[in-house]
Amino acid sequence: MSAISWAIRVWRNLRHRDEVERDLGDEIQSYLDLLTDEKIAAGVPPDRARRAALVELGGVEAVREATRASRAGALLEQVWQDVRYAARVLRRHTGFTAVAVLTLAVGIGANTAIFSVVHAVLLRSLPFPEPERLVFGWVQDRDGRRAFSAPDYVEFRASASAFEEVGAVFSPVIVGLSSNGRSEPARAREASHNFLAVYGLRPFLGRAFRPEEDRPSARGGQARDEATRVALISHGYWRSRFGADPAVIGRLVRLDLTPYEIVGVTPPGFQPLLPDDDDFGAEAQVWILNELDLARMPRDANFVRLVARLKRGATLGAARDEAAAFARRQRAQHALHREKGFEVDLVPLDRALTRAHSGPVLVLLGAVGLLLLIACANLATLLLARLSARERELAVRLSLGAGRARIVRQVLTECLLLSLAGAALGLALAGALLRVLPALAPASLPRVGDAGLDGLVLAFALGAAVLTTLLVGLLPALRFSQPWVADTLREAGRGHSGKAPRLGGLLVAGEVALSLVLVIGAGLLLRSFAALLRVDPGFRAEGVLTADLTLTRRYPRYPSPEKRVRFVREVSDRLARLPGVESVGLALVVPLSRQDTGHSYATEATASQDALPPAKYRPVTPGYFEAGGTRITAGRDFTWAEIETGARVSIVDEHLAHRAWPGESAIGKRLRLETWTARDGQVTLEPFWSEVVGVAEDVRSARLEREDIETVYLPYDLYAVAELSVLVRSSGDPASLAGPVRAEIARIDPELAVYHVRRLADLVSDALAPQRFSLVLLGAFAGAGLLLAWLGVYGVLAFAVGRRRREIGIRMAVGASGAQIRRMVLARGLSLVAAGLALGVVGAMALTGLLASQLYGVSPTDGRTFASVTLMTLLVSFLACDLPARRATRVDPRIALTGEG
Amino acid sequence: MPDAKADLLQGTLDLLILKSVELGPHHGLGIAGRVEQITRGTFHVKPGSLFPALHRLEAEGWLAGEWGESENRRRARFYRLTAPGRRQLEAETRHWQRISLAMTWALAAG
Repeated sequence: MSAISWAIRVWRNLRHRDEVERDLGDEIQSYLDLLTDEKIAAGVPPDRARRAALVELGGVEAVREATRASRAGALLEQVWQDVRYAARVLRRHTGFTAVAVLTLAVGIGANTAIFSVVHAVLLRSLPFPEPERLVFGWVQDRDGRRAFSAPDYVEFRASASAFEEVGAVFSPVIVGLSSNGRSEPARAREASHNFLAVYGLRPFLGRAFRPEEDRPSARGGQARDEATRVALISHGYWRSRFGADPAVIGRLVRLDLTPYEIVGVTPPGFQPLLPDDDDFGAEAQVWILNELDLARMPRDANFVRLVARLKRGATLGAARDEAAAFARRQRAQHALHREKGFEVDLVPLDRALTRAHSGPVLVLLGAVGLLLLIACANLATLLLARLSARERELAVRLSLGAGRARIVRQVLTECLLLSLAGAALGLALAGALLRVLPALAPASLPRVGDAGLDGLVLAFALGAAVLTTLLVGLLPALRFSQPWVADTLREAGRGHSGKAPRLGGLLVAGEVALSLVLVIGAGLLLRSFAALLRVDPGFRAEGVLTADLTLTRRYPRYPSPEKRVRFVREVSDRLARLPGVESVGLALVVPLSRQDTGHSYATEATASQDALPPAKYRPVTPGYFEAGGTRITAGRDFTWAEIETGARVSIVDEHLAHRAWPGESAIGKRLRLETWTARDGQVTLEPFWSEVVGVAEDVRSARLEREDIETVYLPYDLYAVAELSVLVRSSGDPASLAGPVRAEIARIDPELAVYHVRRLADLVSDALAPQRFSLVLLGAFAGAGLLLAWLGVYGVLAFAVGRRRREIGIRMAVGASGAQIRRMVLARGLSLVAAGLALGVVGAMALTGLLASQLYGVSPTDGRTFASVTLMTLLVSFLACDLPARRATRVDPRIALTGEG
Repeated sequence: MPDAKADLLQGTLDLLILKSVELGPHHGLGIAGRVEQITRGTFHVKPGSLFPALHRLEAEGWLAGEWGESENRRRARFYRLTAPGRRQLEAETRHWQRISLAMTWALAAG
């Protein structure tokens, strides 16, 4: 039969179903009549003939059912029947339906939301053409992995033939952008001229940079004789700042007083997505060319982030081989690379991005998956309870010829309707969650804003619905469709078997186990977070306001170190005079921002510059330590006189003091340091000797959870760099100083961009954003899981008590006390819980290792956490068991006589 | 009539039913009786198997059914062989003869 004629038949069978059924009924009836006639004709008495005919027929319904089943479209018809029946049943038990749909909505919704994040952050291919050709480059030496140094980058670019484009992107900086008289801070990023081409993109408007524009400028910010500098702006910035005006091309703006011509607009939403970026929330608004003479910079200044595009047809393996050869050549030619080791590591950009961020996100996915399992177990026990109430009805249906498959299918249909309703509601929930999650997520998580309800995510939700249908419905359905009909029908008074409680108990024990795993995980994260909060960062953030300023080389107003020192002095003095200000300090880099460059130093005792590990140089002004609350444990702070005369003095931190001069006082000792000087267009590091005048306590400057490398504090002028942070300690709320500080600085220099004005305490808090995110979400899942498990334990016990009321009544009638009954129920409940806890502890021991990378100060198998969480869960479960136990003691013994089931 | 209960494969049953209406239409009970007759009592078709088979064959287009009157003036549904049904019967018959010949050789082999 062809598909079309089959379809026509199905349609006809469904449309004229009543007619078809009637015909069939008539036909079977006529068969019966004819058979009866035959028997009568053979001499059998009429009534016996009739009965014999019926027996021979084998049951009218059975024959009808058999014929129906073989009809075209029978399956569809049955499924439709199942659906209607299921809908009727669900409508009748609104309580169960509501609980089930809500539980499923929460479970499926949470899973869908987290999966959407996983999809956006880890799975989705990068939003560039042919993203598999994008490669990121790391340099590996004995101190770890880092960005390229400038000369290495230049040399690599010249030698690499497997790549179509090799480009560089640099860290973001803030510049003051002035246009049409308005000046405001803008986030700028330097890059090589071909940065868009590396990503396979073309500008949205205008043009990209030209190779000839990408040249170093003369050092010292001298005016360039030739063409003006050029810049690209981002699509978003073009819309917000320039009103999406196409005439922006060719417009002249000023970045920190230096004129730039806008020549193009980058494509919408463009982000370089570098794996070692830490803030994906704020896009770069202005793209400019780097002006350093990269080839002549020091070989140990690692600040060039290398991104490259493979030639079509070139393999990553071939590129890696080339890179290895390059590394060999570099090691042969440069002593620095020989001593510290030098390898080039090329990684596909998407893999590098994923590797950097997958840990915490996948843990969340696992946790939310466990939550769904718990929800399914809960619903399965509920379903078991309901089905056991319908045992008699099911047994009768089985005896009438409904196959086991039919019953299973019908129960599964009920579950499917519940799951689909739950999924629909869950999608709404997920949509709401996804609107909120990107705001809560740490800025260090890339592409979170892309998380939405797209095709794959919807398919996931549907798949989750099907999976929950099977998980919830299959076991109960199989349990209750077994043909032990005879048993059930014979026992007229009792309407139950012992099967449901056992399976229900197993499920609940499983629920308890899973929820214990979740709560232990949350507990570990909580202790880790608390430990982080207790870390002494080496500064006192309370009451301090911080602000950032940029005086880059491009800023012609402060071209010389003397001018910069004078500016800094004026800022310091003026701000110190503001009411409510206790102290003011300026420095390059404020605690907890990220800067990893270190320089070598030596003491009088160590001859070679490399004997001691590198230290950070931190230029500061007098008052910086006081403003930041960092104690000076020996010696003294700098004086302004030392700053202004360029005295060669330094303050070291305790870490360095102990390493360089163990057991002695560091005061008065001398350090050989180095400084960059520009000479004839060459930038070199020149050594000089400096006397130690003070020792300060250690400061955690990069991350709270990692100790810093040692630090040497230098007087500001020695390193008169242009990106500064201001710390202002106030006697009251630092936020109230924000306006006055801005105003005061504006009085000194009206066009200077002042940005990131905020409480230092907020900066510290932001640094913990990733940990807080994981903790909050995992805590929410754990709480929900525990609640569900609690409900599960309570439900199973309450149900068991309800069914054994007659037995309880008998016991009480023959003299059992209420306390004994209560003990009996409690024992049953607690044994379930204990089994679940034991299983949960084992499971947690196996699984918490996955959290190890996120934990600080606490091991994944921390005994205290395990013990206290388990105890707490036990106590909570005790309450869940006690309520039904008490109810059991209130059973009226007369039930033993009335015989209620 | 002997009440032998032998398992009938669906294909075999179909063939027997088609054969039983080769010479003229019958109603359900009549077909059951005819099958028993032409197999000399070997196969006794139960209604639980007969009715699904009849309806299936009708759906395939090999039988055509319509209501009529039986010998003793009872309303009954009569099935007759259609032209495609006749062709199917011939094809199935040839197929069976080939199979049974092969089985005979196989079982006779030493």
